[in-house]
Amino acid sequence: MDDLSFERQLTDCADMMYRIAISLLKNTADCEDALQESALKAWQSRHTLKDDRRFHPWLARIVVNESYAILRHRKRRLPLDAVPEPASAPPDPTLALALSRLPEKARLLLLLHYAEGMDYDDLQQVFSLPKATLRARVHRAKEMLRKELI
Amino acid sequence: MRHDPWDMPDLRRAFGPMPETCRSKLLDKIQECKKEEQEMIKPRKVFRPLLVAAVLVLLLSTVAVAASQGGLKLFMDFWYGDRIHLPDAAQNVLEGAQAYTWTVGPLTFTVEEALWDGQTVYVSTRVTAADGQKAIFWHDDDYVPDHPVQKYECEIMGLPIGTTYEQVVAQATVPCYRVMANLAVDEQFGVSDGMAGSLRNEDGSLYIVNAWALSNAGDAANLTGHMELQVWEIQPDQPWQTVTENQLQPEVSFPIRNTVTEADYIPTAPALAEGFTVTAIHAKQTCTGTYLTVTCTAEEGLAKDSAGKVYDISFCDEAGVKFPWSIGTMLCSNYNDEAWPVVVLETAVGLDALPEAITVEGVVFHRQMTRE
Repeated sequence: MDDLSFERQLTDCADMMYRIAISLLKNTADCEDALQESALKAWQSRHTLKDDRRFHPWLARIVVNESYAILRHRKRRLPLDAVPEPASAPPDPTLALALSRLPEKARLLLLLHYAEGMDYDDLQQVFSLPKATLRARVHRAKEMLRKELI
Repeated sequence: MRHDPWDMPDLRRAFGPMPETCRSKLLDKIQECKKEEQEMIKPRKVFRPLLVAAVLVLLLSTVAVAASQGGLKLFMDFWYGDRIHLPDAAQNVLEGAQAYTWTVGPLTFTVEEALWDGQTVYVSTRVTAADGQKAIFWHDDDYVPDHPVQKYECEIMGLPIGTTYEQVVAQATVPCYRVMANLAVDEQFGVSDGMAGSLRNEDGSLYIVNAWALSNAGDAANLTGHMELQVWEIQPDQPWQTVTENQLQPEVSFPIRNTVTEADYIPTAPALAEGFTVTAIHAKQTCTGTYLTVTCTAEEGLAKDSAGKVYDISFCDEAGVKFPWSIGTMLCSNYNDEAWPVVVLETAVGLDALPEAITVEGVVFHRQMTRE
């Protein structure tokens, strides 16, 4: 993929990147940091993308990892009284609340599979886990969300 | 993955629009990257190695119900209700399992149940305070201080829905702990997949359930390994900084008691379902239910990326009533489409014994025992 195409793909994926980061970090400030770091990481390592068709999971993995890195750092430094700027209001607040109650890993799997349309090959690339494992976990996460929405 | 009649809502509606400031900063960063590279300026940021999310072993979540029976059955009942059937044979194994008890720091861990069906092992461990006093426990994988506690736990503790873990810790008048009880099966058994979760009880105790799929149990008489037990006490003023203070890795051994019967099921007519012809069903009865290996052939014109439709095939009794789920295969079906247009589905149903017949779309498959 040439640089221009790569830049266009990266730009087109901004919304996906945002949804991944905000689902893990839950505030806009950290989300901005995660996206900028992800963009930097993606640009610097774009030569590692061997198959253009795998751009989405490749990028998703970078965003997930950068978000986790920020989450871990935040856990160490966040003052107890800190009140991060919340994300913008969702169209379906009930669904948003139910999703937010799930463990972050379950939430992330559902987001990538159902909202971002990633199949199990894609998820395998993101999480480095066997497909059978991912199927089981997506299934479990879906069940958890269903229970939250009952 | 099993077919589930519940339709997943559009999850994008759970997210507000990307703030324009966020978008513009991202786009600016992309331009900055290009510019820096063109100017041969060394990037300011230091490359960090990718943090592989390999800790996704534990996925199930903490739930809360009243404890009056074994943890594993409670756990399954809570999540799946009557959609799952646990055979009497499984109950017998659970009730006969050897109980182990250890004290780790201020807490007591008791392995109350172990269930092994030849492919999957389930272990249920109960955590209580060693001194009998009240305490709050959370499964290690659930505890993230600024995340909301499961609503079931809120209901038990009388807290508003949405209360975070650190808010619970701040309000608690009893000690709070993160706990882990994980069965590490010896390597020779070939662990291929695993899940775990927890179940909060009204009496304050916590069940932790481990499930591991094993590929190489062979003819071993006992399943051996060790428990990984850890306790972290959470300090109200430092909810993010829990330190491992107490841990134990005792060896455990569970007898393998698994009587298996097997049968082939022969169709009385072509069984057409979901774009496939089901040509053969092989069934294996275990203590957790009936494992099915289903061979299907795609109808002409069906694309290979439609292979997943085999998950939607229903397996019913002779009256056409769909079989309940089994906990076998850890509630997960799989298919193999390498020999397309032939697809082999591996699934499990919750039956006490091999049925005399299985029906698919009204076509009866009759049993021929192959191993009794």
